[in-house]
Amino acid sequence: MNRSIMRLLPLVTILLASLTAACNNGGTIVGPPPPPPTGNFSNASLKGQYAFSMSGTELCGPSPGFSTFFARAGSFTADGSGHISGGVEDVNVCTGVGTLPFTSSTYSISADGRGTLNLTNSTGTTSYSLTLTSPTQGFVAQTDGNATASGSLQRQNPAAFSDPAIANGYVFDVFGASSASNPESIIGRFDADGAGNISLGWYDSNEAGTLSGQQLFPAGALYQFDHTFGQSGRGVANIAGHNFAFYVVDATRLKLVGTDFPEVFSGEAFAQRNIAFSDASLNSGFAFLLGGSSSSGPIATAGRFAADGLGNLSEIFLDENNNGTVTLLPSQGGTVAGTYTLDANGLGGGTATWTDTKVGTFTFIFYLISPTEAVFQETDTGITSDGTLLAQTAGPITPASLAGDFASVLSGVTQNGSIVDSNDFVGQLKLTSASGNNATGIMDFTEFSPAHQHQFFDIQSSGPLNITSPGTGPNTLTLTTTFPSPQTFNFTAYAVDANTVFLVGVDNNRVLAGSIARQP
Amino acid sequence: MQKTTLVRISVVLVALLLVLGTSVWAQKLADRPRAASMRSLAYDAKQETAVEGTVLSYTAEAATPPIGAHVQLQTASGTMDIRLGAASYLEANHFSLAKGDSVRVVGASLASRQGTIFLVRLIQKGGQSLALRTAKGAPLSFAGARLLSPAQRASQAGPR
Repeated sequence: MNRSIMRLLPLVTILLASLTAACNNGGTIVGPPPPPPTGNFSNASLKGQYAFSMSGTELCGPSPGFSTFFARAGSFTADGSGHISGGVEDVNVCTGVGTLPFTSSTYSISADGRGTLNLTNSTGTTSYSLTLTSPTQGFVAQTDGNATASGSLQRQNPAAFSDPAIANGYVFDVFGASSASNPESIIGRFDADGAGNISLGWYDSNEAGTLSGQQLFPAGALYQFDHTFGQSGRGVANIAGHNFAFYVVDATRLKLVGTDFPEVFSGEAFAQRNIAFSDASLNSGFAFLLGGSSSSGPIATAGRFAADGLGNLSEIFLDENNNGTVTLLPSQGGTVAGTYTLDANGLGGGTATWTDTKVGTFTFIFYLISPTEAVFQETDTGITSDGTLLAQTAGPITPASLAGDFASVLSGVTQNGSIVDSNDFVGQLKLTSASGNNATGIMDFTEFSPAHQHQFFDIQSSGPLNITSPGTGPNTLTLTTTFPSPQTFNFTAYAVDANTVFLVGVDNNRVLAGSIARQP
Repeated sequence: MQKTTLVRISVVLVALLLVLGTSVWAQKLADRPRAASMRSLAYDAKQETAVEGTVLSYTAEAATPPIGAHVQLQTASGTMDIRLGAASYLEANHFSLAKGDSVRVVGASLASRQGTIFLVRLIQKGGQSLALRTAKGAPLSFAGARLLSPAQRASQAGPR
């Protein structure tokens, strides 16, 4: 073929992809060919049984359809050669709930840990993009025209697929929608006795900003493995008065999806350190990431604080994006101070409060998994938002300490002209210690609304990650894409340590939250 | 020097270093684009009012946050900045708005950084009435479709 024609082919491909995007209300857009992926991942990296969970947005109802929240969790078995030999998932979608076994399915992993996963059940094939952080875990996003969602997957330990293995205290966090279609977050803790019984269950519910206060589980709490799909680590549970299907990762982690319709929940439970928690348990810097819904719309929040082990909080920073309204703490001219209290019963529940002298008061509750990790829920009026609280490294965080390859995941919404799209992103971010454009990314993502459903693959981005010493406070990450159209994403980045960074979008036209996790 | 005195001096020095450290940190972050206004975007159902007026303009894309559809409404007491949430929820309910439409809205006013806005829970036009929020003030665009009838919900079902 003539060399000049060969040179034109990529351009023609790009133009055709752009035209497809412009003319249709759905479709796939593939970016310009990226550099060959580098790394040590391959199909062999995904081998064994994996549990996954995710939540997102699906279309529901008569054309043009409603965007609405949904959740799924499940398990699949990968053979290390690109084949999925079996598995099952539980879905809670707008048509109801279901338990759907997988038939013959496929996957592909490239050297950088990015890949695709196609899971087939009796209703058809669902396509995902994923990025592994290691052979044992990764991030996943649904990237087909039927829905958009994101979450995580972890390799399962089949030795924990029995009632006796689930014997511990567990802290849980689920988010979703109540039967009245309000956003609802429930966090709490319980004891599982290894025989299917649950005791000492406490929870706090936040339904559209209406707080339950700490409550005992109602009667009927239990867990039991499933006889039909037990080999997938599946079981059912009644937690805080709600029915769930669970998938065991190992004895320390369960993935949860609500099975009561029309309500829907997605979340996880984590084995709790068996100690008597007190104010002294919180004694370091902590970074947090929250996501949910406010009276206004989607909300994402990230930040950090230092706890002194005596009930005092200092060095408090926060970035909140409340449906495009961005609030940063400390405010201009304001100062922030706060306190926290652990419950006297020693079970790890607690409250945190801080006040910015200009902006007002922020209130939270938490349940400690250990002195370095907790589930975290905002309890301010009109806000239903929850997430994770993780102890920060002592620092400093520097460009050099963050240099390396990371898997990335983001979720949220974007005002895209007259359309508000739901988005889920999964990809890889490479960081160097250089100044200037020290971050380069490649990602797959969705733009999903009733008006259009677009899936973007291999979209490259670059920009600066600016670290403000000592690096444990708010840092900035700006990523710019050029294809299919120029877009700039502004994030505040809160480093948990050199391996994990929380991201919150601070643009007025989008609400995004997510994280990056180091790859080996 | 007594041991207790040394301990006290150490504590004071550590506290001083912490204060100085925080101060330096704060200076480095001084150029963050912060605002000093109160944060008040919570819907308070107890503050609900009903307003009637004429649509001056409707746009699916508000120029200022919050993200979503936006109406300038002419009422007897002046113009109001009306926020409807996701335009796709209006479209899915086949509810359209145009300049000159007479509407009645039930909702709550909020003081936002962009000025006073009115978050709508219920909007009525002619014989059409559409709830945009739950009784608790949460946008129905989040998960309201799960309350549709089974037949309605099934019409968009795809592969799961």
